[in-house]
Amino acid sequence: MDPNAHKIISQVYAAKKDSHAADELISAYMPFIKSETAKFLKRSPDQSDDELSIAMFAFYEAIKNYSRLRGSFLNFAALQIKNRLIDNYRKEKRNMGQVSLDITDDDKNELIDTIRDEHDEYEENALREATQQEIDELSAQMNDFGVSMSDVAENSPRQRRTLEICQKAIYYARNNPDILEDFLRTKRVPLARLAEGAEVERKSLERHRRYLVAVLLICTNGYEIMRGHIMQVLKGGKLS
Amino acid sequence: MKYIVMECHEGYAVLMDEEARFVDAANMHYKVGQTVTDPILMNDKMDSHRNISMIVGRVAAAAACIALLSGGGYSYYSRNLKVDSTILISSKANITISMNKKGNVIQISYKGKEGEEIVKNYNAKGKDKLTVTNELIEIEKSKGYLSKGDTVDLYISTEKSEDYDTYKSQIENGISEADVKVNVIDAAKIEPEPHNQPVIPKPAENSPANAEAAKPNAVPAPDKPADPPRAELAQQSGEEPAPPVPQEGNHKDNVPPTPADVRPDAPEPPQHRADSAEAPVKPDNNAQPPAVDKPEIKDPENVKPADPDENAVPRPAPAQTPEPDDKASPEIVLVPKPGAIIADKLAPEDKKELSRHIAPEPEQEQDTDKLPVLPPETPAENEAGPHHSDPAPPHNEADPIHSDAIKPIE
Repeated sequence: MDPNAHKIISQVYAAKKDSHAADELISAYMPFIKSETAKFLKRSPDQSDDELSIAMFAFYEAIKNYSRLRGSFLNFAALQIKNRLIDNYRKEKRNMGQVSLDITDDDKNELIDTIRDEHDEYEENALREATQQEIDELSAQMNDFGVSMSDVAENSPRQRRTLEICQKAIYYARNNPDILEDFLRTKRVPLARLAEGAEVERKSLERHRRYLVAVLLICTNGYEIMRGHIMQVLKGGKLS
Repeated sequence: MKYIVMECHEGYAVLMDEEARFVDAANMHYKVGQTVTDPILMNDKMDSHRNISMIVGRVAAAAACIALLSGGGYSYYSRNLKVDSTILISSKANITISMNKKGNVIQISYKGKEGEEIVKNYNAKGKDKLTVTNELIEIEKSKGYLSKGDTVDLYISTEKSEDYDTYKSQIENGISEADVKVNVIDAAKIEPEPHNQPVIPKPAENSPANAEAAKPNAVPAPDKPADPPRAELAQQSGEEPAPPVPQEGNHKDNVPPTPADVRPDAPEPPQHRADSAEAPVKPDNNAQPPAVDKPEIKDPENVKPADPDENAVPRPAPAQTPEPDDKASPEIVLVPKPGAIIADKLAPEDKKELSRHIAPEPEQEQDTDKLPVLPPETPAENEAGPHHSDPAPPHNEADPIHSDAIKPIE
């Protein structure tokens, strides 16, 4: 096999485990990503194009899903990019008959200006900034536990059954503040107590330990916005 | 479902939904803390299912390819490599031309030294059957196995009657040898009569057994007493011995049944017939003419004269075979030996008379088309068969009838 191919494959396998390596790989192959996007758009993509963002995400997907059985990584990535762009095109095609809010009339007034906007943009910005602060604090606290956001996303339960098990454990921990105190003090998730108290399998909790770290931290003081976002879960309500 | 953007990267973003699920999604110019709806989420159902699907798909594709190649290979084989029909040049060399379904020559087989001598230096590759037939006849003429004015019996064995008709017309119109007449006979219609008729071990080409054996389909039925039985029967009935059927695989053993060897009415010693009739003679093996050492002299009076109606004798010589479609009289055979020619020209009664003087010899067939009577079947004889190569006459050297028949004349 081509030595370059070997190099790429080794980089891909490194990027699977490390988010920083993944970012570097995406940056290194940005020309390739732009080239594939241009093939679809029949023009050079702009940085603000959604298609380029989708292509980059497809490249990241290719990194996550690639294996040597699939052959050349670049060919695999090109296929992933193409498929994603096609899916997005079909999705957007459904909205093609609609009128754009950006069109202007004879007086150069945009249509969007004529529509009543019930959203408070300033409030939304303020909320977003507050949320960002919470998230930054959460990320810092998670680093103490040796967990990153990417790790949490990777470790997050996929199946509904497993998600419900974890949510039971979280609900039990929220209703037992000593568990959370113990968690913050020891920097370790009390899996045994959670499994016993929530009456769930400990093995399932062990498989999603990093996820539980993030969610249990959110349950502690200081993360009201995020707690409000997942309030339904914290109240023990059934998943929709 | 609303999502909070938890983290932004170069090509993706981490979102948290309202069920406390953390997911990767496309970073559509998101900002951390932003609440979004309808993001492009990562498809993470690929790993095991897709791997299995990939492997299953590849195995299925490989199996399909193998099936296609096998089918194609078998189709190619059945059309190009499998012997579908044969043409037996009933002569001293007793050469069989094997053709595929398309009518192209794929194999040339022979029996005896004469055949080997002709075929060994002959290359039929890329040549059609008419060319090969013409060239082989020409070679046989050059080597003296055929003479000017001789008639060559060509036994065609095909699976389909229409193929026979086609080949027959092609050969009859395509054989360019002016000095040699060609007699095309359907080998399928030559019926050996193993048990009832004395089989005259005619050296070959004319033996219906040979012709049948020449058929691709015609299994040189071991249970069919090919030539020897015919020879024996011929001996008994005084009819011509069955020409040795050129067996497909038997390139060397059988003496090509020459038409001249077929003596339809040659009286034969009853011993030969009895033995021959009893022993199951394979067409090729038994095609050998009776050993010279064992001439079976049949009481001429008991010998049935060659009876054209009597099909007891498996008409050895295809020439002699009363083929309905064979308009040409089967009487013409290749006559290597002058003695044989003379003997052939003898009247039946003369032949009978002759046979009386020829004690050990098997009786000659009265009809020129008939094969000489095979001697009693012995392993050796059977090995020889009625088709054993006979240098001079159509009969084998072992053919006592002919050789012995010739002897007094000489």
